[in-house]
Amino acid sequence: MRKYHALIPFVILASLLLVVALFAPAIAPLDPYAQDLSVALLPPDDTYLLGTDRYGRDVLSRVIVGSRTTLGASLALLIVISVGGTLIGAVAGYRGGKIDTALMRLSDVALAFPAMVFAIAVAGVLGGGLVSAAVAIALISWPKYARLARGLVLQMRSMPYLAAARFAGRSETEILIYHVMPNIAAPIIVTATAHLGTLIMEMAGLSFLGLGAMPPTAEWGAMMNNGRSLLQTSPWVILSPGIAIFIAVSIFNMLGDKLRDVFDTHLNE
Amino acid sequence: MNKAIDKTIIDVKNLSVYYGNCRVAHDISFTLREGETLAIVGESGSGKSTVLKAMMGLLDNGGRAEGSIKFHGDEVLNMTHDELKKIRGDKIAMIFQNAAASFCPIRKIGEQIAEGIKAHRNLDDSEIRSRADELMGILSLDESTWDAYPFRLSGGMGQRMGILSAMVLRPSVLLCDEPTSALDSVTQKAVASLLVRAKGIGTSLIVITHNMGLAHYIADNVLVMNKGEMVEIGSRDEIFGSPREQYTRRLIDAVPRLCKACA
Repeated sequence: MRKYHALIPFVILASLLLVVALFAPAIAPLDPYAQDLSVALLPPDDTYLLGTDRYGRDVLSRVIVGSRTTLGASLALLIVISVGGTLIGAVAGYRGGKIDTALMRLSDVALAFPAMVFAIAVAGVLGGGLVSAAVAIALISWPKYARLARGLVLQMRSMPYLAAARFAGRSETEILIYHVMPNIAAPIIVTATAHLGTLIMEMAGLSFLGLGAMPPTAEWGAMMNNGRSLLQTSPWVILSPGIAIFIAVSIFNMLGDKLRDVFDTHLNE
Repeated sequence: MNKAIDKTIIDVKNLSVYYGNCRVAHDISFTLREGETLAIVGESGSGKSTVLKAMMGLLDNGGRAEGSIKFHGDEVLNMTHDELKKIRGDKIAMIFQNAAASFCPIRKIGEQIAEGIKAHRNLDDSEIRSRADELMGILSLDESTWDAYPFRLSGGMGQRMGILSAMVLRPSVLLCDEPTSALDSVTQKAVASLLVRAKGIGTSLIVITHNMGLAHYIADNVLVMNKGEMVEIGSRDEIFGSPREQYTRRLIDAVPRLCKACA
């Protein structure tokens, strides 16, 4: 029970982040895209709590609205990667034989490339934009889930309840959907929660390099890129989205750790 | 021997099982008649469970069976998935070696048993529950067990729920894979008595066990296996009274007995 208590603050913080992202336009105090060069690069004050950028846009509003872009894109990407990768791994592990060999060699190929270098290359080939960045990251990230799911399914394949389900008349597809997938969900969810932090950094990283979100979209990585040359003169422009990334990544990493603790307890029971 | 016992339900002829090029069971033949109990005995790894799995098309990891397995005259080895589906769980039920582990760990036991019943019979929830309650009474299981998760049950309770799951559709054949191996001696006796009771209402049993005491207690006929081969088959009295093979004698002699002073 104590483990559940340790989880609560991180669930609250993560929920808070998601709520901010969801209602960002309503929460942002000013228009994040409104330019006013007369107030460019103002330091934080009562009107502009986190200052303004080189175009006079309110940094706080852009950080708030940027949370929607960064978290939304990362979350959507996470769902696609984790579901797709898990399905591939589960089918490979459950079916075995040539299907397993083919899918795992494919994952070996994906794992053989240095992740970020490959993502930069793919995003470069596909052209800029959030979708290109997401495709690039998806191509290097799915084997993580495929390998995990395959390992879990291999462990489970000889469990009596699968034989019992087969005996009771379940088809192989039904067994995979109703018995295998729910039983591997817990470690996959734990991994995915901790992975969300990494994805936020990767998405922001590609945007920082100019291969993700395009101007004037408010996105944390792109905002940092925008403030790169102002680090010494107007540090708030780059530090604000940087700190936002730090906070979001920390929350999801710690939430993943705590979730792991909770699920480990269940396993120990 | 009454007329019903003459009726052949399962007829296995020259059954061999292979995993790749490795032969794990060879030339196994036996017959099971209505109301009869056959015990298949042997050491761990002798191929007993493999024979049972082959009979029900449950061989995994590329296992294949050769020979003939007939159920009521129909060749099981040639059956399609749908044909097997019709008889498995309904006409032939199975008690798994670790019955508690034969339930999916994240779903309530009752829900899983009900699902198995609905796959074969058009019964509503109250009919299912009343059938289950009847057996739960016989098995000394508390009603709350129906809504429990598998990991909440002790080994004995799990085993009894496994038996309930197998018997609730009143199958004509019950396959039992080491039904008492995970149980304490008192629960072993209760489970053995229950199997005798099932036999009493006309259920035919195939009991896989390395427990010679259970085989003696429950079986009409005994098949002895060693290293995938059939050593001998005969009536219980023949096997336990005058075994033909040295290996059978060794198995019987290996049974621990209470000393005279303790007995």
